[in-house]
Amino acid sequence: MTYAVKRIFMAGPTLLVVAIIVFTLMRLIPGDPAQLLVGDLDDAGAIERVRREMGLDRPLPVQFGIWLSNILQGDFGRSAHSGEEILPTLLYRFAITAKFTGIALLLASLISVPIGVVAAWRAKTSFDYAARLTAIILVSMPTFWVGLILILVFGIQAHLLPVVGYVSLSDDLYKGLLYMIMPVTALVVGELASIIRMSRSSALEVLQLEYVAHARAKGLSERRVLLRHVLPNALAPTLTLIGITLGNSLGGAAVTETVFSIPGLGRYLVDAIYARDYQVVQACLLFVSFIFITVNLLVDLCYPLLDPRVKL
Amino acid sequence: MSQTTIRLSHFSPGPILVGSVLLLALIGLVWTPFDPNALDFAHRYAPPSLQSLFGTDHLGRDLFSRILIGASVSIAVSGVAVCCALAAGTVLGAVAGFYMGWLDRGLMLLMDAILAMPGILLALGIMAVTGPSVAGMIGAMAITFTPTVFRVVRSAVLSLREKEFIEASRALGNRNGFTILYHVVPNCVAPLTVLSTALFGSAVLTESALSFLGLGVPPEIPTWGAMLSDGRNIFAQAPWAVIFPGLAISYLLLGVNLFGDSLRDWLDPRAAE
Repeated sequence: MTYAVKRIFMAGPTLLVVAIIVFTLMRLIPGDPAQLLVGDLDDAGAIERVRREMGLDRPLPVQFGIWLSNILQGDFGRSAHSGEEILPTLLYRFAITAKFTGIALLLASLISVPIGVVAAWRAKTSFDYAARLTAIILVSMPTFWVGLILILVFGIQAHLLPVVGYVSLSDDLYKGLLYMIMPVTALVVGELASIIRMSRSSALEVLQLEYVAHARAKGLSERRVLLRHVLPNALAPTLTLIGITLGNSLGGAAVTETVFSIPGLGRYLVDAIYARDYQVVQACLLFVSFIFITVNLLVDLCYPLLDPRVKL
Repeated sequence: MSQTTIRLSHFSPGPILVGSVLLLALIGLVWTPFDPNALDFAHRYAPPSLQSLFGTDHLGRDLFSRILIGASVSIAVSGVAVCCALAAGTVLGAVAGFYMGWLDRGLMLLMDAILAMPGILLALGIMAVTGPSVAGMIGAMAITFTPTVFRVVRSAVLSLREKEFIEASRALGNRNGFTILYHVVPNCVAPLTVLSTALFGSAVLTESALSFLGLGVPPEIPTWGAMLSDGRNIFAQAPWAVIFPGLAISYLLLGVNLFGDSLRDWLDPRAAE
């Protein structure tokens, strides 16, 4: 129990430092934030008013304090571009990104964990070599390029799938799924490789342990040995990797969503950078980091469930 | 196992792939078939042919020449970024591990926070500050990669600092800086070599992704990422403008990944099996 409490309390300072980094980054941007918000160079009165309203005339640590306490109350500020409140848009966009990354990660794990375990079980056979070769080739292809090639082949040449865009599943289930096929495939291809490699190497380690030999000596079928003894024990390290992969695909969403014109969180961030809408950039960076830290925290807390040797 | 099978199992095409890209990048620095930025409207959307190996784009620019230049940009930017991260991470990691105490705790907190942000995202955030530029790109990736190096060096130093030869060096009256440089750092070379190939791979990937978004290397320099971004708009007329730059990235990454794998097997035989 102490481990769990400690681990949760350790996330606090990390988040605080992340917030400081994000805040500092945005203040390093050349130019006066108040002027950027007003957009009108000559309107000195308006600039002065915005500066006072936002507390920009106060010392930096005070500004940071105000910003952080606003965020803790759920106030991410307003977009300088559209004037909308950021938080509702942020959550709406994140829901879209989460749908894509979640489905892709689930599919990738369901496909690659069994492949990795079987490759380890049949180590040094042609299946193993084929799996490893495929993994290293897949891991070398950038996800956004895979996406472009999918669009080229299935969208432009074969006219099988809609090229780019997004339709909400709740609006039109069939169309929504159709639009999801290519982006999800591209994400899965990118994630397959690392999960195959990780589950293979951890299964390889487990297979050499004495309890596997014991399970076999008891006369259990190979199927049972793999499913009951190898798979669960090989899953623990793989789970950690899955947490990291999720973070990477949240970060990479900026690129994949650009390729497929998906209005997710990544696209929101990139558009905000283009528009120099730094309130939004700041909010996106902090939000994604928060999600990443939370996911890794959950993974760490789940770890003992899979590997009882690690005690909470 | 006989000597030959050992050698065979250590054979890897990785160095050949990486070496060939290096060679092409060097050639690209002194000679390209065409001027990579020359516009030639008479030969727009030309398919791959003997004159123009990879075809031309919407402005009639020769894609093969641009890919050659892109190779040197990609390798140089990624290489310098990884070197900066190695230098910064090693110094900070050695200092943190050697002196421990509040300095160590402070650095750990900072590095953990940087690691807590997805890599591409942090690089994007930094590029938002600097705007598209080569120096910004290098700095962004160096900052993103430093914590990984830091962690490796720090944990190596922590396990080393109690060893006899470190104590001996101290007992001889060597200054701490000398002990770190000559006795601690050399012992981190093996793990750092493996790590730096992995980092180089992610650097190539990050650079191309950010240049694809127009937030990496400035657009007037041909990069593989920017070429993909151009090619995306001329899909229907010139599919080769999307195929070849991506193949170039994948080819280099495949080489780096294979190289890294064989390096790991060689330096850490325990992990090989």
